[in-house]
Amino acid sequence: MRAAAGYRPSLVSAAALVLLAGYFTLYGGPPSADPQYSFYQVRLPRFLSAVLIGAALGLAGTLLQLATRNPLSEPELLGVNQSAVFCVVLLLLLGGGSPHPAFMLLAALLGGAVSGLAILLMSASGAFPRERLILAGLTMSFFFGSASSGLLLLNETNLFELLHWTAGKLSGATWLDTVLVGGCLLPAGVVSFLRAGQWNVLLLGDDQARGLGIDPVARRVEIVSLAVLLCAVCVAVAGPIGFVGIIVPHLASFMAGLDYRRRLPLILLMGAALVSVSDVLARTLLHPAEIPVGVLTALVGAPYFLYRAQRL
Amino acid sequence: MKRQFVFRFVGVLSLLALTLVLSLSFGATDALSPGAVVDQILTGQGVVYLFRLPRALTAMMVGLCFAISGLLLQSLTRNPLASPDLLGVTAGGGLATVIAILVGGALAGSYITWIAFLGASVVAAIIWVLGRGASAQRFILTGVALSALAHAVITLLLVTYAPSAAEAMIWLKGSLFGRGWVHVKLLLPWVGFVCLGGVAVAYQANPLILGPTVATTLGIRLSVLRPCLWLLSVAGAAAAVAVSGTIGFVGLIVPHVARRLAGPDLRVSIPFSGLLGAFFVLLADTVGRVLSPPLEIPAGLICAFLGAPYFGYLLVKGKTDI
Repeated sequence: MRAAAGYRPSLVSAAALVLLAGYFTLYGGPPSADPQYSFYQVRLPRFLSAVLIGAALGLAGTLLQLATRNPLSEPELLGVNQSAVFCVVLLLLLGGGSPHPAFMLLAALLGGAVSGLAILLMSASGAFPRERLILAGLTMSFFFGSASSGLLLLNETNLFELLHWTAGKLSGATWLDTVLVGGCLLPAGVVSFLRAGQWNVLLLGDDQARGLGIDPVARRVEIVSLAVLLCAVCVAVAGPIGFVGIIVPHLASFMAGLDYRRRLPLILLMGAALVSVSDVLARTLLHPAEIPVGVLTALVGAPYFLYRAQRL
Repeated sequence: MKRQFVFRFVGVLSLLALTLVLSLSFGATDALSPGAVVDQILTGQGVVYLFRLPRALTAMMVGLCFAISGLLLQSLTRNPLASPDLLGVTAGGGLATVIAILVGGALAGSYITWIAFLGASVVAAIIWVLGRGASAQRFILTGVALSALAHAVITLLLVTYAPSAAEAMIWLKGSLFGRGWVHVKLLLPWVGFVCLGGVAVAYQANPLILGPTVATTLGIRLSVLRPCLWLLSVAGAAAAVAVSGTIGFVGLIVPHVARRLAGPDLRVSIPFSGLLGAFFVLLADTVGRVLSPPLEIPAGLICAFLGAPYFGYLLVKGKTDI
């Protein structure tokens, strides 16, 4: 296992970044007419949603990388996000108006499950080396992406609003969103911490895991299900936010080594820091226009992916 | 060519001809009899000559370009899942076009094909510089990364310039709406280049399947062959993207079908791939036009819906070998 470069300093600095982003989100910006309302009903839920979504996406990326044994796996690249988006767009167009977020979550879960299943099949057969898995996932992503934008085009009425959502946004986050993400993240996080020891063994490969009494297939089903749950809730609340799931686990393993028991807290914190800081930047960089946070993470994440690809 | 290939070739050719006849006869107006179609083509008047024929020709040429481009790319990377859509070539064209449409406005309209072609070529050149070398894996992932980057910028632009986003989105979906004789003329030299070049490299590129070492041993100069393959496949994809927008899944799926029908020999599979690609896009465009007029379903969308199930089948069956 690789030596940790600096576990405690990175924990502290990630936490400091979250706090900094929190300060800017809660107290920065122009003064509003109704400070009480904007603090409790707009800014606080938005900040908390960003933190929880970031943590969830970081964890989801880690889970997918573990399940596929591929360091480049990521919800956006494997098609989980886009298939969830497709089902949500379908729901929005069929249901009309704005359905309850819980229904959106259900739709996103359904869509995510489709690509989750595909990922399980592909990682089980073992015939999918790195770039093939990514290409297969991207193809799924491409298909669902073009299907949902096709749906949007055929039904132009609320194109702009949905377009913004399909880019990944945090504006207009409510307490309900926060509760939904928190409600999914909490059990997923608890299970992750409980399973962390077994996951360490999974890193050694299926045969070793079997030898040590761990059923790799059952664990993988569990891991992918958790990842799908996390991605689905993030998509339902904020739209697809890509590349958090690749930057965060890599940085975390660089800082904390491969041991999941040490890595998981750092992943959660770093994910939270990345998305909350990105959200602050997304609001301020092109002020008064707002960049979707998913675009910002992709603009950071894609060059990082490029860098990783160069080093393979 | 062996006899069985000749039969199959004739089969594909007649399928294509049948689709062409259907495509010319049916449309938003009443169906025309074959006699009327021929009459309109000969006199150079009427809806068939002015609109349907050039559009059908464009569809066929776009399909041919994408399919041959995909086949060459899959040979180059030795990866059956490679396609111009995923490796950033089409994304580069898309990015350049979106910039042109959103920033340039109406002025961009007449130059759009050239701008798209330029964008695709620039991104392709960057991918080549960053990703070339021994490992096909690195090459592919470099393309994937640049594609993702281009898509992020496209989304950013679409969201920031929202009012005119619909036009750009329609272009991105890949449609053959309103394509005419101008586009046929634009595509024709590229189709010729890709076909002739494809046949020329086919004699050299077959040993690539066996891996770089064996290919070198057999006397193939990889340092020449690889750039040629990349150049050809980029030229095909860029020309097709420039005219039709991003019609996905053609470059991915069609080469698989072609290899199943024609075997692994590129000299046979390149013509098959071209014909099948032409058939596929023409079919998609015709279906999109006829399904629910006056509303048109973009050909790119239909290709995705026709291609994705087959792709899933390939994945599940594990038939993704070159």
